[in-house]
Amino acid sequence: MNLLETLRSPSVQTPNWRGQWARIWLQPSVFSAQRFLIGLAMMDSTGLCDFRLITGTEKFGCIYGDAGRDLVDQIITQARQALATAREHHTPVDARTLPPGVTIDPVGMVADRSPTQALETALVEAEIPMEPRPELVKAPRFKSRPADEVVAEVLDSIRLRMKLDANTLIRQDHFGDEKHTGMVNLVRPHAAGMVVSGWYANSQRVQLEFLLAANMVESYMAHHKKTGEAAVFLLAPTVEDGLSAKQSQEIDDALDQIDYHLRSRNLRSAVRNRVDDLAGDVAEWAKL
Amino acid sequence: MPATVRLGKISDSYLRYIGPLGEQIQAHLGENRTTHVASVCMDPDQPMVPGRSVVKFFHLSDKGWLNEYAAWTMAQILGVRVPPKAALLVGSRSDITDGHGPELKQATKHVSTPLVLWCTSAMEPHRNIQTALGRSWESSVLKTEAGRRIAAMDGWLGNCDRIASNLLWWASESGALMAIDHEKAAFNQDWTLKTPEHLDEPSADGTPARVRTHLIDHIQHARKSNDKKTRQAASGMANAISALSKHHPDAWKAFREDLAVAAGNNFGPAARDRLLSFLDYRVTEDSINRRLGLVI
Repeated sequence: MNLLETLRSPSVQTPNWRGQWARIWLQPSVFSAQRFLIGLAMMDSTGLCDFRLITGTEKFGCIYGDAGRDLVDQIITQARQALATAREHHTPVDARTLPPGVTIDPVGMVADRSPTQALETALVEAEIPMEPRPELVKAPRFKSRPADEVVAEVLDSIRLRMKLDANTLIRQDHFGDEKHTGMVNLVRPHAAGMVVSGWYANSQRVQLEFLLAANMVESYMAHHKKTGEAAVFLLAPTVEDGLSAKQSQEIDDALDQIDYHLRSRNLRSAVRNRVDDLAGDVAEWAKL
Repeated sequence: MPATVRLGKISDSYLRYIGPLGEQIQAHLGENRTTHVASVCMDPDQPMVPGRSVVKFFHLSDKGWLNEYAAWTMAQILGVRVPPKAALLVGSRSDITDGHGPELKQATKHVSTPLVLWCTSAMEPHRNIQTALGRSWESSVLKTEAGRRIAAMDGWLGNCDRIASNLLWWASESGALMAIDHEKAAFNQDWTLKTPEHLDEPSADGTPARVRTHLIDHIQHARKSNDKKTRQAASGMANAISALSKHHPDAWKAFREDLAVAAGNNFGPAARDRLLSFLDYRVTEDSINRRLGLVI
């Protein structure tokens, strides 16, 4: 790229016609400074070459009423006649040529193939690049689910992952004295654990379920004299499941707080948002 | 394939003076005293089709137009949103008439060397970024991917002029950031005269950076905040910008030769080497980390 070379190179295309363009204004009330752009004109050194005036005056009716609009129509018609005469004779246009309230305001240079082409270009050249409209996706609403259903889904996923080994781990039926610990659903020879549903929008409810499960597992371990690592596995919803960002953050904060206390009590805890992930955590704990 | 800057002559590509910037576009953005709106042929594929353009005047020997050209092209490669079309028009004093408006008329009164006009698409509708995002617009901008891309690019080019009026909030459906006005790249140092210094880096004796690019400066201030969360967020942003800056060497490879030719042909080999050595260093990982304060 060499700009001096570009300057010396022959022109690719030179516009045939050069002149000046002007805006045509209408000031309906001499007592108000308000004025409206009603047209464009192309002129050269000898006089008016071409012009365009607006054809629809409906919007003036909104401001000045029907009588005012009729008056605006008359003024524009007179201006059109005066400009057409000037164009025909190729004479200059000034305030004396135009009806009262209409003024012509020269702006600057213009170059194009012809005055008419310049007018057309001036009317359509404003460029508004468009970008694709993003698809409006309605955020899902949070749907609560029965705790039994959530737990059953996780246990099924554990069965899929661990195959026959899952039968020795999962304990869904309890008999006799064990009935009061019926919620403890993972039992190993020296330890016990529990899959629990945290599928709630309220952070306090999730916190409560988590603590209840931890208590229940610890009671079970003590009752059965198990000395291994107790565990609680909780499935919690996220923003993708319909929680608001605030609710999701509150749940995360609440669980972080409990997690710290449970670790200090030698209780393993895992909070996941996907069933498969939680089943993976259970499988890992079961192999210890 | 990124868009390219159209090269043309004022006599055949500057078609209509439209008016001063403030009169035509709501806010005075990205302007110097010569900035105005005109109808200019900017499309290399359709050289006869004009579009509404914001026009800025430079002398041929002024580094500003090459800074603008380099930044606009780099932005295309880096995925930073800039006005979609751009053109460099060259001409002589005799090409400028009274009809080209008071801005050009005044600026070119005593000029005898060739003139360069930097033209980019006039973007409408848009709002001032401070009106759209509030006084702490830097934080809002840096939270977006587009904002971090701009911060990374400014850091590389040493563009110290990313003030609110040089970042448009283009009022599209979702709102979009658009970077304009890069004539003050290389910390506004004249690389045609001497090798630009890396003013945003702390010196070897521990003297802190003298100037920083605006958005990175905002991050560095946030990193000194008393609030832990603000400090963490700022560190996260610095790391994100560092990650984005790692793509710069590839982009630089794609454009380095073109820029070398443009700078060499128009400003001479010495100026070209100074500009290239400035940009060559700033694309390195060491420079990125130093300006982001990640390694001292």
